[in-house]
Amino acid sequence: MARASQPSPLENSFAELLDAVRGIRWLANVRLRSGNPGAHVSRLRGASAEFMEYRPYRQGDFPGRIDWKLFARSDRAYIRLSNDHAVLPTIFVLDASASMAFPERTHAKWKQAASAAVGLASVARNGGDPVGLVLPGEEGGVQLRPGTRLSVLQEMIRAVADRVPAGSAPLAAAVSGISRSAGRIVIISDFLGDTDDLVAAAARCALSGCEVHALHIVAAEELSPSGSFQLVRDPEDKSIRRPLSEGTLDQYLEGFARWRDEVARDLANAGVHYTMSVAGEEPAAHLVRRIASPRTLAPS
Amino acid sequence: MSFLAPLFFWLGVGAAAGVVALHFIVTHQPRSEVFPTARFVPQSPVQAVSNTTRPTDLLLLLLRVLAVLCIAIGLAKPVFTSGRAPLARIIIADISSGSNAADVRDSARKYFQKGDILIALDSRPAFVAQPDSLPLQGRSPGDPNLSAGLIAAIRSAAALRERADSISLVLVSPLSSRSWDAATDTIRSLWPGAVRIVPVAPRVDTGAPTRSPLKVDWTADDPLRYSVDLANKAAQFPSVQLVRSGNYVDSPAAELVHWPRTERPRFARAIPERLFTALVVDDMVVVAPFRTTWEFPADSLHGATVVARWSDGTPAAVQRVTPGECIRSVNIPVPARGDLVIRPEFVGAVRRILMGCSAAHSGGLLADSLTARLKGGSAAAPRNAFQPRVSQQSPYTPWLLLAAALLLIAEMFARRNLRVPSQEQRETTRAAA
Repeated sequence: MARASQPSPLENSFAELLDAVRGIRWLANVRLRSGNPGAHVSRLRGASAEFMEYRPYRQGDFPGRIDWKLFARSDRAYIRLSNDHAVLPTIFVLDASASMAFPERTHAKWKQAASAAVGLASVARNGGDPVGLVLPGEEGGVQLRPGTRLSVLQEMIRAVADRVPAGSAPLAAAVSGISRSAGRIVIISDFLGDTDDLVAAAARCALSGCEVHALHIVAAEELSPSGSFQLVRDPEDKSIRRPLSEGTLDQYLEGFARWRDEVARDLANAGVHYTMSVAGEEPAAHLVRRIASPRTLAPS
Repeated sequence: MSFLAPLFFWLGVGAAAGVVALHFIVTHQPRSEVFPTARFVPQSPVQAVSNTTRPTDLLLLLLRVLAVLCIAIGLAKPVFTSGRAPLARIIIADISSGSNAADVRDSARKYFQKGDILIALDSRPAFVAQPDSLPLQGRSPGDPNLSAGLIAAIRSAAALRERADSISLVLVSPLSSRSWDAATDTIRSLWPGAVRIVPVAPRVDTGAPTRSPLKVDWTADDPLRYSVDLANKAAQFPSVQLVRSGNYVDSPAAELVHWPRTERPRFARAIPERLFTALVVDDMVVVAPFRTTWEFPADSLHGATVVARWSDGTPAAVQRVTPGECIRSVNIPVPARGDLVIRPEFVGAVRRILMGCSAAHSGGLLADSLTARLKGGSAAAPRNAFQPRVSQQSPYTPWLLLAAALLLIAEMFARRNLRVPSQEQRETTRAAA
């Protein structure tokens, strides 16, 4: 289907974001096993120009790697070692369930999640890493295979701009499906869906050597709802309709905080890098920088 | 149009008003807001009641009200009448043997109009279509049962309540004292209006002069003969045969008094000797010791009339009237010693016992006090004083109930159609967001 040439406001905001995150590097937190040459340090020692150390020659080493100049000076045979670098295929699993379309008027959670995905993808893409996107949906969803092509960011932007959060598609299946092809998985969600299954899938990925990031998007209205009486309903579960008032506010805040702590603890225990962001209160560029290069941020 | 059960109609009107009131009092859950973390809110039921001042869903309201009214009118049993007459009559014509049948027929014909109810009163009431159908002959010799006639009139009044505003009860009778029994006064109080009494002359027994005098099979030492002689001086006995000696045998006499000295009176049975201290015959009370070894069992009283009683109420003499004969059986021992046989109260009692059936039939007229109680007030009974017949049905009831069922089905579909757009509207709103 032909797409309208007029960009949406969300796409316009992405343009500003891409400018803001230019120059940020997002290095892998672990050494990679192998892969195509890239920006991330590999576990393998190669013959690149970046010298790391010498090692005495052992039988079986390729003789061409002997540092002959050193051999001439010291009459000892040493192998010159250097770091090998590899790319890190990064796939973003973006939660597009109905709970992300909140608040109903601004959809701040969805905008924050989409901006974080696009911003981090831009950072990874600029570092030479292939980036991909998974948007689970009840009717098949959207999946962009990881790639370093120039248009991959544009494809991601179109995918998230065209998507209206709805339904309650599970994320755990999507995470399990991409765990073999991805070196880094970024789960951007409010974790109000299949939380237990999602944590288990993320833990399996982390155990298999995958770098897993969990970006927990929370709306400011969820953290501090108004005390006035209102009947609230869960957009993903019609049976949940409950009164929220001053009398029940404290219990709500206590229960919600306890649940967030449990989610963060479970993900951390599973080896997942957990980050929580309050939609509408933190600029997307700041969030990207906080995840990709936290040492560049001034201490707050 | 009128209703056989108007209470249901008014109940239905009240229910319809309640439906209209409830239509404006809406109980619903308040408008809910999307809140993804609603699961962390403590669970508690919530409902809000609000009054809506702007009527909505008028079709639904109309269907509901119509359904309720159809049910109510159906249960109220509507009937369409061409109009009620101001007055209808129930005429009780006394055709017993003690009344002059020709006079009764003439009087009934005078009051009877089309649509009225005519009851021929004998020992039992019977409905007659018109005065000309009243029998002149072949009537039973029993007393007129006024209580039964009044009950028949009260029951038939329910049929007239739909045809007249007031119902008048006319009693054409010589008002014999024999027509009044212990239940008459109570039954009369059940008629809510006055009773118009049309007196007629009692029947004159034209055969009385040809009667023979009292026939008695006396023995020489029978003490009762002194009492009979004294009683016969005071009043002339009709043609009655008194049997005193031997057992009862069929007698050709039309009126017979079986008063044996020692043998078993007819209809009586033997019992151990009992002592009674008083005898009551009409208003005569005889105080004396009476020792008897007979009594009238309960089954012997069926269809019989008690003529005399002992002081404890047990019968001392009974009378049974059958077509063609009248038998009085007397179980009163007459002592040979003492002055009982010449005491005036005993002589009076003997005179009443020997008066015979025909004299009893003609009897006396009803006392003025009883006549006044029977007459009551002066107004006819209003139609609303009588309950309509339960069995009476309205031909419109099944159709009205069917219409109510159809309206309720239509209401169900209307309610369902009103819900569907609201869901579509919500989906449209979500998609637009």
